[in-house]
Amino acid sequence: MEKLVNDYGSKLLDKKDYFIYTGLLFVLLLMASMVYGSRVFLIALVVYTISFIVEYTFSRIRDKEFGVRFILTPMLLTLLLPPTIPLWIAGVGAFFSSFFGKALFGGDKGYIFSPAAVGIIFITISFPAFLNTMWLDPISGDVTTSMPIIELARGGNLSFEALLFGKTAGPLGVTYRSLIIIIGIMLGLFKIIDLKITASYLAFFFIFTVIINFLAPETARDPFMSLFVGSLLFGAFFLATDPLISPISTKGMILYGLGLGFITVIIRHFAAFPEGVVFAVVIMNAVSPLIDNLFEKEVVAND
Amino acid sequence: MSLTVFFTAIVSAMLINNVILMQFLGICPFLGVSKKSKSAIGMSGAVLFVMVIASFVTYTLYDLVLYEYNIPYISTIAFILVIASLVQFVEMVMKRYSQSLYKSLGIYLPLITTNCAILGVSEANITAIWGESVPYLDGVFQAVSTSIGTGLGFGLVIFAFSSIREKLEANNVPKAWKGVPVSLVVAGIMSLAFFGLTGII
Repeated sequence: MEKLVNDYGSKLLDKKDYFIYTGLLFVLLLMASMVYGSRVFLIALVVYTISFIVEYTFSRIRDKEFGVRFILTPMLLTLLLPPTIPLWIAGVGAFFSSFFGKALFGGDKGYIFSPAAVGIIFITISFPAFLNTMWLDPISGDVTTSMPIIELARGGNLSFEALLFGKTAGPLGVTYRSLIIIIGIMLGLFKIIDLKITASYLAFFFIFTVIINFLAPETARDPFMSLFVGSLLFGAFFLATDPLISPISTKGMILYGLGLGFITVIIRHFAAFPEGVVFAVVIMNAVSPLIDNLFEKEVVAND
Repeated sequence: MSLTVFFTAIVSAMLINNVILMQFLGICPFLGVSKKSKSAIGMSGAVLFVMVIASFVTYTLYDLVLYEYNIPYISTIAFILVIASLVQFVEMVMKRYSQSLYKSLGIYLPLITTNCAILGVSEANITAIWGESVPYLDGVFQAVSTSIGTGLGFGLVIFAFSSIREKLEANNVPKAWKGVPVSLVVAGIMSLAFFGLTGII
């Protein structure tokens, strides 16, 4: 089968792949709806409607074909939102992510930054009161400000089982971690995402956590449990692996994972934000064309 | 004067208070020469060079002359004058004694003598570092470290940006947004992402 690429040289996914990808992510949304109720679908509906309006208007004005490829980004964005989020904030995030993250750069066939991560960063910084405090405890149903990632930093005890099976507070789709790993590996087997990036990200994240634990003992945390808190697994499997925003060559992918791991560890241990995955993804998206230039010659030589 | 001060100043100025993404200074060279990575390197080399010299001279001037004679309110005018004449002088010396350096930095030097980033760093050094009780040597060391970090941060962003622009060429950007507008959107998104690094130092 011929490999589809865009003008820049990034791999393009088939329309069929987009359906499989979004369908599998929908399972995560279903699991979230079992915990948080049908409000989850309302959030998804708002995000999808706003994204659809933006992208459809763009394609109409520019006389471009409107593809079904748009279905992936709103799903990723929905899964990263907190369960109690006011609907209008979800709408603002969806607008920012589809307008400034995607449509401006030319839509589905080439963007610079992960659109879902851009939307999440925008609302995290603009509405900190809503995004940092309104998490729901899945068992009692109460509003809580504590998430496993904060507990881990305080040195609290975490149940590994609760982390794997969605029994901890967090964004809609990132808490059912066993399912994320299964879906990620399935997508890797279907050759929709490249697991080299995921593997390199997680490996370097682990290595840098061990190094930082050693260098700055006052921020030390268990490196193995660190892999299973926050949105790290979700980011490593679904955000960082987008072929349009990650480097093309294998060496580039490994370097990209190194940068992602390093920035995530630095933000988690030292910065004001508890979680650094989305920030790391966007910063490394900005560096990824540079990495491409670095290894460009070797790729040409290999062909 | 210690390594800790040096590295703290460098990391803080380079990543957390990045001159382009966080302080919005030096936007015109950022948009002007980020089209090719080669000119981006030349420009950032020149900025680093001028920034280090300028912050050294202006800090010295402020501490030893303007403050001594009780005329700190003319600092802005004094800084502009001193930086501009100094850089012209350095350019002449370079042209006479080192042709290769002049060729790589030369065309950018006159452009950035009046750049806001240079003056901005000089003024910020006075606001943030200078104090009546700070010894001259400690202060000037920190000012020079900060300016090295700022120059490196400028270079980092402008260099990363030059390759993003090459990628943008291949993308299907709407006609009205091509060129500068979409570059500013990219810079805005990068600045949002750098927000995540706040609080490190």
